[in-house]
Amino acid sequence: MVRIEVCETTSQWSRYTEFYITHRTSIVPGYPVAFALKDVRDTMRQGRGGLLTNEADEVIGIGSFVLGLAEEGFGRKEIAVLGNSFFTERYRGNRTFFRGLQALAEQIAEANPDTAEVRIPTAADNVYTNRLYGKLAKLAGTRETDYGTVNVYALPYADFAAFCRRYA
Amino acid sequence: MLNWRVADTQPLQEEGVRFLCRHADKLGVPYNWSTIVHSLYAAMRDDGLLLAMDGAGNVRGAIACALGTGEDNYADRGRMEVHLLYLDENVRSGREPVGAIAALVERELEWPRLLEAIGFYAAPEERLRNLFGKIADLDHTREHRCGPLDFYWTTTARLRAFVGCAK
Repeated sequence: MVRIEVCETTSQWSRYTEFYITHRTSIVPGYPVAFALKDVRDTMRQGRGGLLTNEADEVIGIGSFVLGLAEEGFGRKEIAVLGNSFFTERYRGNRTFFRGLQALAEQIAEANPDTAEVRIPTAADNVYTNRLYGKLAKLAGTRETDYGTVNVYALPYADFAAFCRRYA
Repeated sequence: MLNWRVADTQPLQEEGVRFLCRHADKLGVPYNWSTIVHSLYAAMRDDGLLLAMDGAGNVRGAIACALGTGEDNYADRGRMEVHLLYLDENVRSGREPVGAIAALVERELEWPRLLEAIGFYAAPEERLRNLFGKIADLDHTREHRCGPLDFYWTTTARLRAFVGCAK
């Protein structure tokens, strides 16, 4: 049984960080350690992060979001931006993913009940995530970054929450 | 004897961060984890993440330092702040702690410009004041988001003299 816990303690955040650093290049090829650290910092200060653990208490996935847009100094808190989420291969493609998404939807609403929109950035060349996010959101834009081209999918928060409920 | 080196490659940086994550509850710094993560980010930017490797190539200690200090919101990059210094419990005896200071001095001397001063924060504890009083001057104690912190100033010359005396 997979357990989902919202990170609060140093122990939880350090496990989150270690998992993210270890798998960062599987999420975004060539992603530097320093960028991943910046993501963790921003998630802790501007959003929330969660750990998924298995029966052996091993971390098998992470999920996160920030409120606001990084490019606007985290202004526009009505927009939640999902962070780089990742599950080890064995736990992909089953209910775990949707349970994780539902937990994110709940946490977003709790962090800001006025959240109106959810944005999901993902590496443009990641076929798996683009296919997945394309099913639930519209491609809202594409931007060049220091680590490659990123597609940003967007949908109203209500649609995101409804999608997560449907599959959880 | 540990071998200190700058974590200037992605595999080394990853090893260093993973080592610190595994020892997160024992680092002995008064900051919360988001500050530690930011410190590591700043240290990597300035080539200031140093790792102590044992003979088998395992990380056994780390130092994170970066240009600028929290005293002026990191404006004066002629100064440096040591954000973190951690040694694995079983390498804290003998000469390894002095070796860590020596590694720090060596790194400071390699910096493109001479550092005017080196600062660091610590919990306001008598035990730490006695310890750090050997290498630095306590400047003040102030309230921060994470609680009260002592702030110390020292210089490369003073650290070098300490290492020399300890030899």
